[in-house]
Amino acid sequence: MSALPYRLVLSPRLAVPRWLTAATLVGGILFGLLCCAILLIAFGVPANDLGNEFILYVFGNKAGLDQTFTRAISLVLVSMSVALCLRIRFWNIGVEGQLWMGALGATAVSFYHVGPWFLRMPLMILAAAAGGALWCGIAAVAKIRLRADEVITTLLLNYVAYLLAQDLLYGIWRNPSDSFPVSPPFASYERLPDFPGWHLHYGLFIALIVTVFCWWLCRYSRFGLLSKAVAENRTASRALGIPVARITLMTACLAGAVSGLAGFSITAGEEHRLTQFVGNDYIFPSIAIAYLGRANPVGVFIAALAVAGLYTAGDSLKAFYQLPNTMVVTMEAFLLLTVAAFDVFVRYRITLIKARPKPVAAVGERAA
Amino acid sequence: MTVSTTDRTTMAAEDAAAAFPVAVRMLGVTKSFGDRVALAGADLSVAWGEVHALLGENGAGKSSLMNILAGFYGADGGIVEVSGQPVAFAEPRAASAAGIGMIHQHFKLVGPLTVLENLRLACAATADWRTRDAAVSAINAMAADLGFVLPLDVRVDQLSVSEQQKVEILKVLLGGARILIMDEPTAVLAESEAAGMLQLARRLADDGRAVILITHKLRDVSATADRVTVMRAGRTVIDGAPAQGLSAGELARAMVGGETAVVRRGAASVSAKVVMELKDVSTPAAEHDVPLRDLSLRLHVGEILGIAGLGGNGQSELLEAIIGLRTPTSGDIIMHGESAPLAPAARREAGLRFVPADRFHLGLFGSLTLAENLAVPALSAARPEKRWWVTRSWMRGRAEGSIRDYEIAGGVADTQARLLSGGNAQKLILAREFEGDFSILVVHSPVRGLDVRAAAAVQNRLLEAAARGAGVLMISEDLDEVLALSSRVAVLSHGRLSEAMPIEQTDRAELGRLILEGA
Repeated sequence: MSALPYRLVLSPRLAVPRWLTAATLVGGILFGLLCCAILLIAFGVPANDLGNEFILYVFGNKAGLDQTFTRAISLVLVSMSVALCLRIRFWNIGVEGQLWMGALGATAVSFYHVGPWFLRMPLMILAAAAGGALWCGIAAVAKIRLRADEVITTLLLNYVAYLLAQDLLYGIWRNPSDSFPVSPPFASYERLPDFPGWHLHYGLFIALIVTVFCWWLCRYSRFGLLSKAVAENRTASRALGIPVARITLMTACLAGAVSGLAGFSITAGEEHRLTQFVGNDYIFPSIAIAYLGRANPVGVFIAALAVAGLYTAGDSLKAFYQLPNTMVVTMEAFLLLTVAAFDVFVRYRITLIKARPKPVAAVGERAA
Repeated sequence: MTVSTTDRTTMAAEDAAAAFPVAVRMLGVTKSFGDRVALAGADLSVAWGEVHALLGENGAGKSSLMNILAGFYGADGGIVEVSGQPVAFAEPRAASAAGIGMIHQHFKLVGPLTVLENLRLACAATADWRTRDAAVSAINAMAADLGFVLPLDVRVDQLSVSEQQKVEILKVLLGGARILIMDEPTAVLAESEAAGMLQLARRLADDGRAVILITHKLRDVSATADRVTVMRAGRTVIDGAPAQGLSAGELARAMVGGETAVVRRGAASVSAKVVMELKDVSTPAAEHDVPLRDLSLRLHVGEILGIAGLGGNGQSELLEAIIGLRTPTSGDIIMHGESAPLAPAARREAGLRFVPADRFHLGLFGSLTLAENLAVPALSAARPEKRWWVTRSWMRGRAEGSIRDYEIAGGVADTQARLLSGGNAQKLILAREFEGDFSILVVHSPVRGLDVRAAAAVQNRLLEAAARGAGVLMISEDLDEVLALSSRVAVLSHGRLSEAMPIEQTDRAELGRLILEGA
């Protein structure tokens, strides 16, 4: 058949060592970065400036770090939301909607002056979590009760939330002072404080706490073990008495709440009011990051940081080399592709063996 | 035959038919899969123009023998001749080039494609259809000849099962098959359709083809077959005897064997107390399922009630109905004198445990470790061991005892369950299900695929459970196992259950007849 002197043989692996999983992830990312570098050079970025762009600008100076970490907060939260759902094979394509609902919840508490000033921020956090949980919970209930596909429901709920926000911004929440479609600015006690001298705000702590909590939940809780079982086999789970519906609903609500917190972090930490640009362009990155981090909370945190760094580098590339915005998305896609492709090394043992010449008789038989 | 799909192979086969009256001869065929012997010297001889019934229990070797004839795998030893020529097909394509066509029980059709597309796809190599019109006219002519009415432009997955079967038959015939292997063709059909299918088999044979009819049903044999071959445990026990000369009783005895003595347990003192009762339970009919029909049974404390029968007669449906995965359309399931709760979780709380036939579909979580698998039901129970903080060491600690007691070899607590062998996976399920108190145990083919030692270990656990006072319902497709362990036995056939009889009052021949003919 083939004239090559060697043959590749792929044999499925039974047990996969942990280091191999990690090594292929790192290998995939490095290879993806190499592809990105080739792409950038092809677009006219000098090769010896690449290190500068990627490492020095993103992680080597304060402005870059500031931007990277600030971006990472909301990316960590929305990606964690997708990752939590992925662990029970629930496809959450609705992080934007949940984020919008969280932002609306937080803004509502601020707009209507709910509670005394010292309780204002906890109430905003609760309202944001509740808004997100509600939005993802609706999809979970529809899945459990009506068998509605969550891919469709969560996706469509994005638009519902977005349009609701637009309606409020152009309607009753419109800033009365200048009539722009933004809410009135939050009071000082409704804003997440910045780290002194940085734009980076205390939302970082929310991201860290959520990451640690999710890590505990997945690794050490009863809930985490049972959801692993549910992800593996729903029928067997039901037969063994695992509350499958309750676990699905709880996971969805928790994931929605985490997305909602991202909405709180953006409104209270970055924009300090509800604007038109609170929850855009999160769906694809959230899924990509959840996948890059293998739906593992710690992995998701690291992947979110890396992607945030990529965005910062992209901003600089845009500014200095006039590269289009889509370049960043392309690089993100490269990383995703290479990481996915490197999966083959985890699943299969690949051996190169010297091909034996085919017996002549067999060929003759086939012809007859 | 009015239709000409002839190519050189068919012509050759027709010539051969004239020269050699014997279409297929298989002599002393052997085949092993690892340690398991599937065929230990099987013989079969089929003439042109006859319908030849091939009978045998599950695992008797019928399918292995036919798969060898159809080229799905090779024989280890023995002779296979087609039209007098020794053959050893390397692949199904070679067999079909020699005029052998198999109509599988699970159809090999491409669901989203239309009938026409399926047929063109399958016959691309053999039938020389240059255009769509040529294909349509050839197919229509063949269909008309067989009396089929089939819409060619409808997707196959929208056809009924019997229509799909007709597509399958067309596919094989258009491919030029002269030797047809029909694997339980009536199993998926309603009574009236089944009669038509048998007539068709007769008709195809009368046209000069050789038809091999794999079946469990004695009625099919007496109605249609010219001769019959019966297999048991990988050997041929009746080799091509005229079908008319054999009574149903003789065939049944040949199939299930009569030489091994019934192993009786010591006088079983079955309590009169009923722990579970099914009253006229029927389940919904769905594709590929055998619905239960007005099924009633009483399970007593401390007994093993054996449910005998050939696979695919409602066994899985019965298990699923009892554990609560399948809601009956009518009838009641009563546990401990009360109507059983609907949710599987609640039934488990009520003391129900089960061991499914498919260990990884309903039994275990393959990617979870042994320790995690053991911990899952304990953690989802309403009261005991419900805890929030689940550490590996806690799970490992509670798993180690079970691993030791149940001799789960080849695994430590942190091994993934999917890496276990069949026997050890089964022991793991038993270890998990036997944890804590239970009063009702439903097991389905508990020793399928296990070696002798592992099987004995599992069976001893079942006897122990009964001795401790649990009611054990053992659904098994292995009659020997049912006879060895049960105190009473009933037969499941086409979703209906016969009256349960004490084991002392039954004999193999009678059970064999019930298994084949139903109550």
